[in-house]
Amino acid sequence: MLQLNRLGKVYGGSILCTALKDIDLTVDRGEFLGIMGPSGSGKTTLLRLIAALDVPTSGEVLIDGRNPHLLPRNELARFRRRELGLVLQDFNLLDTMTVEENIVMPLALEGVQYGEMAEKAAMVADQLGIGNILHKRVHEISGGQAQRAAIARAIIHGPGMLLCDEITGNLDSKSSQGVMEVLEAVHQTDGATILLVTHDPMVASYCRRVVFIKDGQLYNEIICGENRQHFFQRIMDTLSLMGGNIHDRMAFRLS
Amino acid sequence: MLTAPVMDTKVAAGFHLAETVIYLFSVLFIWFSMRAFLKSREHQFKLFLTFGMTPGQLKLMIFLEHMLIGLIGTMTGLTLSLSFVKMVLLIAENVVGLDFRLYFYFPMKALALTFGAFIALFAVLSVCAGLFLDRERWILFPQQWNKQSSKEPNASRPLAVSAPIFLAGGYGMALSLPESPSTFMIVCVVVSEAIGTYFLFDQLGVCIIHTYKRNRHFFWRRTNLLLLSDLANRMKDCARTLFMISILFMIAMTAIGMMAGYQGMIKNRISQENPFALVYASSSGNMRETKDVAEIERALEEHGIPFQRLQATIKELPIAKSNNSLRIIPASEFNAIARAAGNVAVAPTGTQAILVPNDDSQGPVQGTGGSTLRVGLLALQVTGVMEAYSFPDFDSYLVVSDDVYALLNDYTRKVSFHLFDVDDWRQTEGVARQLKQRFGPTGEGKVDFTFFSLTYTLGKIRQVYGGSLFALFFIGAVFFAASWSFLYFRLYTNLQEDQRKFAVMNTIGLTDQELSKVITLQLILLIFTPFFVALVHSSFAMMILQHAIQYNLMKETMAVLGAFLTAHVFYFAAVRSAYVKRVKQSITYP
Ligand SMILES: Nc1ncnc2c1ncn2[C@@H]1O[C@H](COP(=O)(O)OP(=O)(O)OP(=O)(O)O)[C@@H](O)[C@H]1O
Ligand SMILES: [Mg+2]
Repeated sequence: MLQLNRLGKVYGGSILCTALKDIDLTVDRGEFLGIMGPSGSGKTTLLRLIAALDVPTSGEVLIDGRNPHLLPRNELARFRRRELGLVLQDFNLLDTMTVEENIVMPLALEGVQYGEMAEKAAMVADQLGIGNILHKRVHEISGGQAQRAAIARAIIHGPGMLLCDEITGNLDSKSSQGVMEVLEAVHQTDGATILLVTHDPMVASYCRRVVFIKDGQLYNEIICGENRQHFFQRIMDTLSLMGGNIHDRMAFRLS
Repeated sequence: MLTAPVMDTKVAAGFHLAETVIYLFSVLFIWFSMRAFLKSREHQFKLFLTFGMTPGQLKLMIFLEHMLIGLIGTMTGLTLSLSFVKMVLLIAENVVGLDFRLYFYFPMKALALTFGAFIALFAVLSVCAGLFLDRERWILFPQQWNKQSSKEPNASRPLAVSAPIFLAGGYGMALSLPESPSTFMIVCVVVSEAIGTYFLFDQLGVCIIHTYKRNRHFFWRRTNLLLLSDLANRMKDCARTLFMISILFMIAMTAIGMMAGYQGMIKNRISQENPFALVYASSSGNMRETKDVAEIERALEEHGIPFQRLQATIKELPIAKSNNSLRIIPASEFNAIARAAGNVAVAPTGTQAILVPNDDSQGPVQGTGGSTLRVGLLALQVTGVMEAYSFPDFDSYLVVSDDVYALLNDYTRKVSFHLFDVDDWRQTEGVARQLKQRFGPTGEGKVDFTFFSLTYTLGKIRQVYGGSLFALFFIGAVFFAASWSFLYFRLYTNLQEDQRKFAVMNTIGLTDQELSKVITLQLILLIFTPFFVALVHSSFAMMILQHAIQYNLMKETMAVLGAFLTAHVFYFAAVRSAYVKRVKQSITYP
């Protein structure tokens, strides 16, 4: 499904900054992959490269054998709104619209009928627990609600691949769990491939596999075995081995 | 600015008025741009205040910043305007058709005055802008949520409906104005139009957008969602600017329309009243007649202008028992001339006479037919009156049958006219100038011939009106430029917002076509609405002017408005492509 070959990114400017270096990664169709790493390690950069929002300086991205960076721009746009669901770190909601209007955007652009759009919007909003704020404007809602609205917008069109960057950063543990259950459901019912960037080991433990990035390079990868508690523990261990930011308090969450 | 010595006092007064108006508009322009500039940096200021800057420090910073901008801006403006003045002069020479050069000089005093005036303006306005900040709540509570800007703008239905009522009412009043309207009536019309126009943008526009938004099947269709979601906000924000821009456009269009109208009217009147390009009139006893006529013919031939020479001899006779005299022309000659000039022929029989009156003359045979005039032994019956223009500057005359004409031999004077009919009188300009020089000053004193040239006379008249026409043209050009820059500025205050919006849309997936479609529609609405409002207003103003000067301005109005429209379409195209480019640039495309 998704294949990264020796992917590298160097940010230009007065000082060059190597954000990613020679990343080789293969993600199967329908996989639920977690990506972890210290702040500034290049996780967001990786997602942006996969979504073709930025150009790599070396290597290539292949999605179903096609390189999105080589698609004509209009093709790319259509690819994004049909095949891709994107939740970025800063939510990216349009603040001149209501939450509902934001959520239906990908469907509207595809020319879906009004009734169907309204129905689907109500459905995903209910799943994510934001059904009561659909008619509010974006700056009238909280950070956590905005995050869930952005998730709703990313999954409403049933994308084949979902890229999520820090989607639980503003949520308490209960809401986080709610959001993860929704993602799990999307993963299981639609068979979507999910890439999830997170700092939260509890959130990461929902994944089947977690890769660790450090200083722009792949550091380690662990696969979920039978036991989720065990998986969680191994994530914690890897994080502390790696140094960087370890959220010790997270340890209590799962218990 | 321009204080060339060729200006007469009236024109100078016009320019001083224009100067004042332009300065006032600069005040408004700078004020609005300052406010917009401060608004776009509100976020930054709030952060400064949050981290402990005092409001006093903030205002000082704003003042210093604006003074710096003002200094740089005024210097650049002065440099640019010097080159612009030269350009305007060049254009004006050609458009108005001035013969003399409008010469350019380096206006030290004017430059110093302008510099001082604008620096003072910047100082006063930036202090005011600082004081205005005190009215904003965020000066005291920088982190308080600003509800106002996030709300849907409200528009009241009654006010929205009142916009067309005010507009129609104003037009109705204007149409039913009496011959000499009082100042009060004119003020009523203007105020009613102004209110109508303002509500059109502020209320009706917003209302219409709301109506579209309420229809969700429409609103949620493809890019409509993107286009309409903030259009109402934009419209409300821009209402005041759009209103002002329409007024500026209207003044520009009306001024230039008036210029073209007057010019067209003068040209038309003169060429209509003088169907022949060249006329040589000679009193009996003029020795040079044959030589001069031959010379005219040769000159025309040399220039390769095909012509037809017509001749008429008018006899001047005293009316019995009166001090007045009559001018009489035979029907055969009159008809030949009439055919060439495109007038109808006449056929007086017996002692019948047809009166051809001249508008300006107060001759003895004014009025209608039916009267009898005794000349010599004959009694002429004036059986008809007919308008015809054939001779330049001539009194009324009578057309009689050739037989009668032959009988009238006790004339006091005989004047023979040589009329040169050419296809296009504009071609005769060179010939006329050359001949004018050859013949010397004519028409006055003892000289017993006159030489008339249509192009020459028209040129003379143009020089007389040139100053006023130039003032009109100048005012129009300045106002048009002002409205364009206002509009441009206003559009660019939304650029940041749009860049963010489309960056977000890019992550969702928006094709290039969709992007430019949304931007294009949005710009069409903001660029063309005020323009069309101004177009309607100024066509109306031209209609009223047409009524006042009793001359059909249709052609001139169409030409001027057409030219404006073309220019505006190009403006739109340029702004649009620049805007689309700027928005696309801000999106990191692969
Ligand atoms: N536009 C940019 N220009 C230059 N350098 C950049 C740019 N964006 C990111 N970087 C640099 O690239 C590196 C990786 O950034 P990235 O945003 O991918 O980190 P991250 O892993 O997402 O961090 P976080 O967990 O804090 O979100 C950082 O060192 C950052 O400074
Ligand atoms: Mg990041």
